[in-house]
Amino acid sequence: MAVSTDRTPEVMIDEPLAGRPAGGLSAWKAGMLLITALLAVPLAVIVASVFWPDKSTWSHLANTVLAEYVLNSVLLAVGVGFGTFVLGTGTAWLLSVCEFPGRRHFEWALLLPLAMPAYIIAYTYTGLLDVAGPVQSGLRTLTGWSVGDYFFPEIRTLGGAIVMLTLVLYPYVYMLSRAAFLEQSASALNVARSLGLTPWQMFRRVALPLARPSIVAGLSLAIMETLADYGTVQYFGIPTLTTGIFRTWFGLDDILAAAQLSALLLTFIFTVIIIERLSRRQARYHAHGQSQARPSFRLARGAATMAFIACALPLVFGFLIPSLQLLAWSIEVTPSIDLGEFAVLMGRSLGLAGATAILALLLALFLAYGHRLMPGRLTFTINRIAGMGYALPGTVIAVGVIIPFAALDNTLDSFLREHFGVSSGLLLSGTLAALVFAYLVRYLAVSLNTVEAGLGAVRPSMDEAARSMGAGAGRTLWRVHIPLIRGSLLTAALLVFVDVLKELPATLVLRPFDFNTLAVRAFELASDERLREAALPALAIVATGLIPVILVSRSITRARGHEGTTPSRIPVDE
Amino acid sequence: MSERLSLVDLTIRYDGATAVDNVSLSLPTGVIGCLLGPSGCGKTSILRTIAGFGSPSAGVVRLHGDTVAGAGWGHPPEQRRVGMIFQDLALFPHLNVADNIAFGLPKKPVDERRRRVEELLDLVGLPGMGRRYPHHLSGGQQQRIAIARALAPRPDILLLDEPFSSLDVELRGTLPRELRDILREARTTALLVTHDQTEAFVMADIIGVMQAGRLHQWDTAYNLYHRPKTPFVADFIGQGTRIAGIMVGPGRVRTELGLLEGQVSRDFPTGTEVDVLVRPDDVIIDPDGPGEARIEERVFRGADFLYTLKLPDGARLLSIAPSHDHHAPGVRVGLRPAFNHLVLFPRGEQSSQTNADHD
Repeated sequence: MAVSTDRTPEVMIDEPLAGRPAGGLSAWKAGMLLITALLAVPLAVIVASVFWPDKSTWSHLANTVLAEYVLNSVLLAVGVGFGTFVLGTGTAWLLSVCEFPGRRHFEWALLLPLAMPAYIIAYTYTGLLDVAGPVQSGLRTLTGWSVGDYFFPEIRTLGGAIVMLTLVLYPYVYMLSRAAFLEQSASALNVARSLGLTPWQMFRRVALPLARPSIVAGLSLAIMETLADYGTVQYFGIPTLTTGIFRTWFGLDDILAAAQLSALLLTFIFTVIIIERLSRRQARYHAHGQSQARPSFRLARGAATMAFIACALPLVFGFLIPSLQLLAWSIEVTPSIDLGEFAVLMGRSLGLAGATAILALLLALFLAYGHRLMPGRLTFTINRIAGMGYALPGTVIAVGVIIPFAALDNTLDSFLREHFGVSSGLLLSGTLAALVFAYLVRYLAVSLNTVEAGLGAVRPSMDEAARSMGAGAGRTLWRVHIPLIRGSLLTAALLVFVDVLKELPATLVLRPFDFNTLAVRAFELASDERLREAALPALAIVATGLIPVILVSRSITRARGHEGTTPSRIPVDE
Repeated sequence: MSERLSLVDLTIRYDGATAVDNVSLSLPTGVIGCLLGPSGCGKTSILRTIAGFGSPSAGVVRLHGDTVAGAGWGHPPEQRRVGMIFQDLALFPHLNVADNIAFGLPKKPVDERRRRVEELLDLVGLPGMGRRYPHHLSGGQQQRIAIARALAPRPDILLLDEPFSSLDVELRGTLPRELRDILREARTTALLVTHDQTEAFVMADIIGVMQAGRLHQWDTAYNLYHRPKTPFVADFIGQGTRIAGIMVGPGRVRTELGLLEGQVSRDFPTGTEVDVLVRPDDVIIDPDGPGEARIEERVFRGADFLYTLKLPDGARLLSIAPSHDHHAPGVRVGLRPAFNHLVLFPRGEQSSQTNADHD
């Protein structure tokens, strides 16, 4: 490369490629506005519910169960935050600076629990640890005790839920803090070492403060997922805000109060997001002096064994034991169950996830390319709003979708009855359209972020070269961008696919009558204490969930040489 | 010669900052023009506006007599028949060389397209390279493919944005000449943007010197050197200094070097204080000369020495002397003026070179 003193950092043109706002582009912008407006409806409905005058159910809730809901949700969030912090940063630090047997494999294997939805691990451990389960039976056989003779911790408690969620959510913290540790300038650590700090002191006094923004980002993801969790707490019977929303909706039959509870839950979630943003704004002390080798402590045998065990525990309990148990149950029940029914379940889940993934990809491409064609504050804001649904828990989205859809149906129905004497019934609510819409609200951010990142890596001169050779915006997209970013497009579709496949609460409520998916069926069977039968659909979900984990671990392995590359899936930027 | 490109009173502003200030120029068909100036002078903004990647704040852009952009509007780039070579070349990495070149070709029968691609590969001296991918090519080869790709749709004008900035130093020496020959052979009308005088002189028939958004002079290289219209052009093109003088008659200036007489670029009334541009070949060290100076510095340059001389009033000038004719620093020497013509500016008109990077 030539040493050029004049790379002409002249003003970047921050306006449409076409000077005159051509008809095509304003239609594009209108399309972006429409998409975002539609996607923002559920959130708007939830926010609007706060201003609804009728607060009778609300005051009833406030006088009775509300405090318990909030307390449990907060305790859960704090407990999982603490647990994921310890597991996530601890393993990340060990793997970043220590040298011990198995290190290379732990680097990617520690991500595996991400594939395990919390409600699945929860019921698997319930089956393992309950009175009739293999652990207690084994214990009784071993000791000769009988039931009631001994104390055994009950897993279906708040503490149990914290452990379950921690086991599957710590990878967020692990992933981000590991990337941050690797990004830290090796010289800072080497200086610390030369000043006589032990590895533990280095961790506490140098690495941890430096990595704080990333750790907070990982923690906020884990906490957001915890607050959004429905399956685990419902299965364990713990009253939290998410289960409260459904109980108010279906038990008290008051959807408005459910929406108001949703607004309260959103307040907690947005608080987490704001804290994360603030912590990121304060600290941007990345140093990039990577010519030095980072310190590496070759651990002695005893310490190495400890490190090995520390890294193995989350992996064993978060992934190996539950998946082996699911596998065993699946093998046990396969001869006796109706495989035809399972195939239907599979087909529906895959079809639903596939259709949503393709739709989300098309919308993401439309929005992201629109911003590229018309850079500016307006399109930027449009896309950020379109991605906001990611912060909404499935329960909240379900409420936010059903209210406007039902209103629309009722309006249409009464209009038709009044003027034409026919009833349209429920046209939209309870259809797949409502369900797919809910998925899009929640997961568009995932595909949008991935597509935006892909497009961002394509230099603007590529667009300009194509345009100057007579290709319009559409042809440029088709012939230049899509081929160049097809990897990102595939990733974007895959991530949405897997997220939809795992989604539980929104599917549970919004699915058409008698329409089951893998997630719904697994949860229903588990709730009916038919744990063995639930294993097969659960196993299918876990297996699909491995796809994004593999994608991320591949990028981790690839990034090992040139450090500082953050894994591709960090859905923090919605 | 018809006019291929013309800019009339072109002004470009971004967020209130004026990047291009009232620039007018025209480029005849088949001529290679160049906008030359320091970083941030607005030259790239002009190029991008001609291409259609931005629209003027005021003024118009005409291509082939058609107005393609005016205040706040412009035809989209794909409708302008403008070829462009980008700083980073912007070859499509997912397409091979032949497909890159064929990208801008209109929908035509396959063998017609193939013939055009081969024609262009021959033109740029890379026959048979069509199946390679851009990352298999050297920097110079990529450069030539970028030219071939831009020329393939037979654009009305080819725009080149610092086309050599991404090349290594060796190629920057030879490639401008090759590129010029290719463009000449294809009879291309082209406009080049660069901050490098040598590139400009090698490539261009007509050069515009820009600074802080203003076009100082749009002229041949010879005239820029010998008849600079502003002190900035005088300083930016070639070497030289200015010394004080006073007009004592038409075409006659009294200076520290004595009375200078000759054809003047611009006449001033008697008694006006002026600055006289002195190029290194305008003064000769001569013991019998009327002027007097002290040698301040001497740089050996092979064929000659470049002396920095200090006049009694403190002004400095440069002088070239054959390298066998040497004087030690500190020595007093005589000076003889040898002006063919006099380049005069009103006293105190600044070249504002210091502002060059502003913007």
